[in-house]
Amino acid sequence: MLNRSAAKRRLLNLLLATLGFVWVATVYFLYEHGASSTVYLLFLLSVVLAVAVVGLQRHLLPVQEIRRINALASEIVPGIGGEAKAIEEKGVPEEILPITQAYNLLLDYHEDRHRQERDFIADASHELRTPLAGVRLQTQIAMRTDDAAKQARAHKNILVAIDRGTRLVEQLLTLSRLTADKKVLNPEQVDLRRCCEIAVEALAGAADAKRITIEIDNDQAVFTLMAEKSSILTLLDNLLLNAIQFSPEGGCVHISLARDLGGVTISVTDEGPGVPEADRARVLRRFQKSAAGTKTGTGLGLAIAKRVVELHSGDLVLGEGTGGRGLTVAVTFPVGSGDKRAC
Amino acid sequence: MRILLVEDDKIIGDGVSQGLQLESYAVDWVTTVKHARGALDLTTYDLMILDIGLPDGSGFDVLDSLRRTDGNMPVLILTAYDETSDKVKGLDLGADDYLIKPFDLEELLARVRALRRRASGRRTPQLQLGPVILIPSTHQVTLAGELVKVGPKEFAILHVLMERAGKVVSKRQIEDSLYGWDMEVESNTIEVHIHGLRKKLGKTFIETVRHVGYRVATDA
Repeated sequence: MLNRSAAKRRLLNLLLATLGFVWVATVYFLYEHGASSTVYLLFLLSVVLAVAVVGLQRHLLPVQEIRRINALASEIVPGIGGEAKAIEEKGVPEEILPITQAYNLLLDYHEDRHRQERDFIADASHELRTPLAGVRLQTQIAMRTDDAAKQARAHKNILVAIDRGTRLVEQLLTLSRLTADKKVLNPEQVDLRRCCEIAVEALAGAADAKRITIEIDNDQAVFTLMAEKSSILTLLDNLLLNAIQFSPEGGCVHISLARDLGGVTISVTDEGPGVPEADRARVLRRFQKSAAGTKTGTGLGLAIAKRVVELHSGDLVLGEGTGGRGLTVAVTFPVGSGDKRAC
Repeated sequence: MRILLVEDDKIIGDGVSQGLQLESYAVDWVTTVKHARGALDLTTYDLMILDIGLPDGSGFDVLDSLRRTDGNMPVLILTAYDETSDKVKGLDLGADDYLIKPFDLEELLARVRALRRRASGRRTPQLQLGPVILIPSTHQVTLAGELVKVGPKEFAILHVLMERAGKVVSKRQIEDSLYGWDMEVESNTIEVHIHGLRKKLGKTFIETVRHVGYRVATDA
């Protein structure tokens, strides 16, 4: 449609320009040779012709197409604040088809994002119901009984449920922040061994409560990485807390650091029930818990860990622990030129 | 009445279990599909309270296999899933009622009473035999219109006997309805409570069927 009329228009313009040039040249030639009345007549004629050309141009302008574009624009505008609809690509002038397609793609992307956010909120509220149900129930128990021991037990349970809810809210915020981030915001040289030590210290209480030993490889090598320190600590906190939760009483959690051509790898191995191979992809998604889980976790730990790794262009792999027992979470970060291994 | 509670969340499971025990129900609490199946094989329950999201599977599976063998046991689904499709699925699989977390303990107890009443084929909320009226919701017993003070265990025993009026209920059956797995049963408790009830309701209301158990007559 438009492209054909546009080609015609281009051709016509070229023709008119040539004609105009010849015309001006003729008028000038006659003027130079003193034919004044002829020049006057020709000048008048050229004005008339110019007006005619402008009129013809207007007529040949793709009014139909411009109307269509305006109609498209007025279809798009109500989508702001309302329900944005994709543009039907059929019948759209070829010239603006790429823009239409790009618009539709953008719309798809945003709809997808929006759906993910909605799912996230639905999942989050669903998950929050459990600790809230616990608080409500235990409060009612405490109110119903006169037995001091039962009341004390209910109060303790209320605290446990509140702590669990709090952890869930914190984890949700962490995941939501990490999901919003598109890249590592404050990269700096991070000493991974030191990070492991900080994370282990922070979880000493939780580990002690189950008499769990956390050991870090005794290799004295220092591993540094350009990364966001707070995210790396979040990653380690989540991996270690999972390991502690799934480990049996008196178990051992092992952290190892290694480096090869692929980059720097931190592995956390526990002596828990492990995750069957078929379940490994699933448990990385948020709110998906391992069958062996006792529901004490928030179901967000691995999703958070995975997001931190993604932001750092790394890789997270779940595997078996030592001797086929337990779970190993291996996180590999590629090492750029800015990273070095100092000894 | 003996209830099987299938709930994997420690805090909620503990709360429901405590709440039911405060009402003198015997409660066995399990946290997995596997243990729920085991419990149903071993023990006869009057009611099951069932969570759907369990660590080793779905509560729907427990319900489904139960309904293949037992069509009568009332089942109340307890779930955080408020999707209509889940409610429909649960009810279609043979659940009798459902509650969504977070729920009110009073409401849970009221629904348990209602299910028990329905299972015994009654419509009226109270049980009456002659001059004795038992009101499950308030744990009250009246004799010829006068309130009689009964303890929680006495109330539970009387409830079982009046529900099966005319039938002999064995001592073992009474014990089963009073004590969950984790509760110690003292050998002479039932006799002590029956004695207490007779003192309050008259010697003849509960009769002893020698070597078999106890019975309250329908025309008491």
